[in-house]
Amino acid sequence: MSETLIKVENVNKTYQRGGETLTVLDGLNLDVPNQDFLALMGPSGSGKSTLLNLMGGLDTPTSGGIGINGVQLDQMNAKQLSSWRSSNVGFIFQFYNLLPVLTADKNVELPLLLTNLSKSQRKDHVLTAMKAVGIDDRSDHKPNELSGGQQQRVAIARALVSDPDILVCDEPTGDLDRNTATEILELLKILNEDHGKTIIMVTHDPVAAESAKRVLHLDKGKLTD
Amino acid sequence: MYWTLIKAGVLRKKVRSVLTVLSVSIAFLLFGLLQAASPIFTGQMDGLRADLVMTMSRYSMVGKIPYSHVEFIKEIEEVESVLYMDYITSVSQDSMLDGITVAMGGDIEIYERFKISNEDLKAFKNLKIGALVGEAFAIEKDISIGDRVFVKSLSMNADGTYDWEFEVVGLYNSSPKADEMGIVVNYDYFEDSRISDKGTVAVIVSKVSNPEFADVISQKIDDEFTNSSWATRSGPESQLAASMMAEFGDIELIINAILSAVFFTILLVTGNTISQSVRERTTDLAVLKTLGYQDNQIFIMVLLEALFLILLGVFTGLGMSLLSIPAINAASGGLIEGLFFLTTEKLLLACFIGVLVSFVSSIMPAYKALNLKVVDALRSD
Repeated sequence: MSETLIKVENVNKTYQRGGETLTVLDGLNLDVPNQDFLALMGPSGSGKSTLLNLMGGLDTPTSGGIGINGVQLDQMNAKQLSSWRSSNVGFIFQFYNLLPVLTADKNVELPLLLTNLSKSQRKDHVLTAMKAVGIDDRSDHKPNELSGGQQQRVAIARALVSDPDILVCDEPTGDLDRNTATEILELLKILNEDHGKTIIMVTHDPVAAESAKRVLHLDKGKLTD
Repeated sequence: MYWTLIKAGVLRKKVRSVLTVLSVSIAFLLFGLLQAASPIFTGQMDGLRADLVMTMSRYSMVGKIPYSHVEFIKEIEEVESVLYMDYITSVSQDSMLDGITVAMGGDIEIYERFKISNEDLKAFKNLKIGALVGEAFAIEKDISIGDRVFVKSLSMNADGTYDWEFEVVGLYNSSPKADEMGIVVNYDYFEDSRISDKGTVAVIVSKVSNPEFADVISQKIDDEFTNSSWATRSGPESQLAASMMAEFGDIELIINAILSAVFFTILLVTGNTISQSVRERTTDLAVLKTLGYQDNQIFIMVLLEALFLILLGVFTGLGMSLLSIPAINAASGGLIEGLFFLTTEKLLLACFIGVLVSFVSSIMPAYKALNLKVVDALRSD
């Protein structure tokens, strides 16, 4: 494995709930090497989704630092984080979160609308991403015309289309049957091994976690192994 | 970028979007028709001139003023020519005519709204009982030049009857067409023959050399007779018509009140629609932010979406108004032609109102979308 891509240093994340301070992450340290496939497991409320959000630039820590490729996310404002996310991270959700009225290719194109690419360039990128996940034959279908597995492939294509280094996956197989889940996990492995994507995946499923190169467990905001 | 997102938002609930556009379009159809009809109720019609000073009784629109006022006005330096008129009220029973009969004297030519050929005007002036008939009225009553027309009036004739007979010597056109629903007869003949109200006129129209003098001259005339029992009310034709109509009530205020109520309702309807739409799309908006869309881009997207829906309604409503106006004009037989129309200013006002309604109705939902926290929105999914 190569050099460290993501460096989480002494990160604390607390929330105020009804006058009470809730500690979700407690002095957490973690190094994620480039091209790692890391599975985060743990009981509900252990802080794994919060950690995922921090590494994906969706949230900022209460204290501590998160550095990715030499960039300190904890020192960025919301606007800078948005720009950073658009070109560095792809997100894959449990429930796919595709826009229902847009066709598959239009959903995949969404991140590219933020770029200066021409329409034909965007089209080429979309086709490449959809081919990479094996869903290019469904490009003009709307999400409700696709199966769960197909929708997740579209979501993965959307995450890939701007060619980010990191894929952040929140229970990517949580809504799928075992066979489809296996297909999606195989796809993630290919993206990791063949395309060099660094993947961080939160899962409750031990079988899904087996696809990862590393599995870390969280409990009460701390890594337990 | 925005067009894809706006389309996605609008098409998400097609029926709701169509109903919203429809409700906005109906409101603006109403706006268009009421504004088009506004000149009828307010007297703010096209073609009214600023260089014609109208003088009439101060206390009643149908009141009389003495003919001597005409002589006074003629002597005013800036007055170039004077026309005076009186109305011969006709009763429909036993009367051939139920239009307005106007007895005109003096310089009829200055009343350019009435288009009369030189030939007809000459014939009219040469025949005491001559009458000029409005073309629309002539068509409706099947009156031709050379016909004799009978008016049963409230004014008694010298022969002791209320019957007045005229000979049609010509036709006239006018804009608005409604003014063609009557006949014009010689004041001198009417004056000579009537028993009552002798030596009086109803309206004096004076043409001034410069429209800028119109207000001063109006004031001068009114000041002259202010303490007499024949007090006058004068003003440029373009202003006086509006002030006369205002005596019936502030119709424009009523129209505006109705439209304000309609637009306020539309504001609530669209505000609710946009709020609901944004609420339902919390996850979609959070996903867009996750993909890298900035907060302000989402804010603008919501505003543009509302603007698109509302302007679509505005253009549909105004389009229906513009299509209806010729149809309504035609249905009136042309009588309200020149009175029932939409000006560019009114169309622009409608667009401005549309933009305003759109902004006010979407600013709060847009602000909520702006402040939407991705982590919270996705957690509550």
